[in-house]
Amino acid sequence: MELISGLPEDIARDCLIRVSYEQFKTVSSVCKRWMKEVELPEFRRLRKSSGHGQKVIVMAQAGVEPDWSFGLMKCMIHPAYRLTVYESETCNWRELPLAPSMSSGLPMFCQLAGVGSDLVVMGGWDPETWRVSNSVFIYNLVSATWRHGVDMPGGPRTFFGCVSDQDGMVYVVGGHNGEKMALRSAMIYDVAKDEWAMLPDMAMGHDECKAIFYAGKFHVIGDYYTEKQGRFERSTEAFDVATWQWGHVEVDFLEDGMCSRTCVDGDDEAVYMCKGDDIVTKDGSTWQSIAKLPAELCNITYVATCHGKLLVIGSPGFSQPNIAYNLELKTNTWTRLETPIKFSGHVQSGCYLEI
Amino acid sequence: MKFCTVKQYFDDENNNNVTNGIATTVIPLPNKHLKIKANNKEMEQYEQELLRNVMPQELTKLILAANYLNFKEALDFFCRTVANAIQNKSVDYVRKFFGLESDFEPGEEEKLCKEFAWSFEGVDED
Repeated sequence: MELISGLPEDIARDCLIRVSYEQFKTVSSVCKRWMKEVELPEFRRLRKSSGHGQKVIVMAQAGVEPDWSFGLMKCMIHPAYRLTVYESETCNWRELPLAPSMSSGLPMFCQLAGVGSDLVVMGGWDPETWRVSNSVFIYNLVSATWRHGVDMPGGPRTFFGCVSDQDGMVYVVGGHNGEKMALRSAMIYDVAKDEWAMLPDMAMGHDECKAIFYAGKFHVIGDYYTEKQGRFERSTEAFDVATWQWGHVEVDFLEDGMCSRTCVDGDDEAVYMCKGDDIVTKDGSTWQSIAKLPAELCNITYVATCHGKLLVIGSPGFSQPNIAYNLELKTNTWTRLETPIKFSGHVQSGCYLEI
Repeated sequence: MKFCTVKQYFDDENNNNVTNGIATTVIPLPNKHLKIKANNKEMEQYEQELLRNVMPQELTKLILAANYLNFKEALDFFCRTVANAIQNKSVDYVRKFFGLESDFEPGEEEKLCKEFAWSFEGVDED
């Protein structure tokens, strides 16, 4: 049976690979032949290699309800967090459906990681009871379906670092336990096999840390030790996957005025962060400024790299609507993005996917 | 390159691959494409016009013509048009447009509709 009547297979495929991922569900529902086609790994590979893959940032973002009372636009932040998607090339925003068990919204402080076309949602606090959860939920953006993963092993873990290696695995590291003790443990989740494995422990506990892949290694950046709670320590530990070992603790990886939460890894083994009013990049052992932040972005909520650009979301002031900007990394030029009110809420975590 | 193939076509009187009608649409395309390359909005409008005025079977023939003429830009444009024909449309509309029929079991189809009802919300009117 032909994919599209009258067309050679390869041309019919060339048409279907251009369909937006939001339509994959429609395409799969047309007939069995189309469903089989969309689910083939070869279909997704061809999509990406021919440049039709869609580059998106998925975020755990607060819902916003505009309050038009007194004739003024005031954004009342609704406590429920949901999943929003920003598409880099079309500058479109949309919302994803939540899992059936998430009737009150996403778990608070959950972490997101993107693996292939799977979005992995880990941990967080139940939005109703505030109980810490180690649950793993996975949303597939192609089939538009949710499934459960095996829970994160060990006791309750909050404010951990979480990142995908873009090769099927999600790394989870640090955070703190029920007694607010910073954790030294780290683990790895194989999304396809739905299996967890422990990594060796780090040299010290890392709470509220950021996890990134930089210079070929998995880095845990910034933390504060339990005994010095309330003060950020500037240190990093790097894990070499090849040798399965942690390296020496690198102190002073960060400088004053840097928040590890804004640290992101980019193309060509670059790493970027916010420092004061600047975007900085690591050049050898020092941080160099590459651009000044737009005046509107006083509070930085979220930073992500997306195909040669830096997405920076922030607000002019506390509890004001968030605005998104793109920094083109080749030219260091800013573009203010149209951010509909519905997508101007606080972003607590996010990840990049190419579908 | 494009004009060599077109010339060859006209020289070959026994060529059945491309009918006159299709050639009329495809051949003027390079000029239009070149003129409005910088203007995406006009290209979008041209695409909308094409989808409104050209039946799916005609679109298929246009694709085959562009492929035969080795006209990459036109092929790219038409393939994109086909993909956009599916944009925000219902499953029934897509089936009608491509002349396809559902071969799912009744139970399977119901399950698909139920599970993914949200993704069929807000689609355009057929």
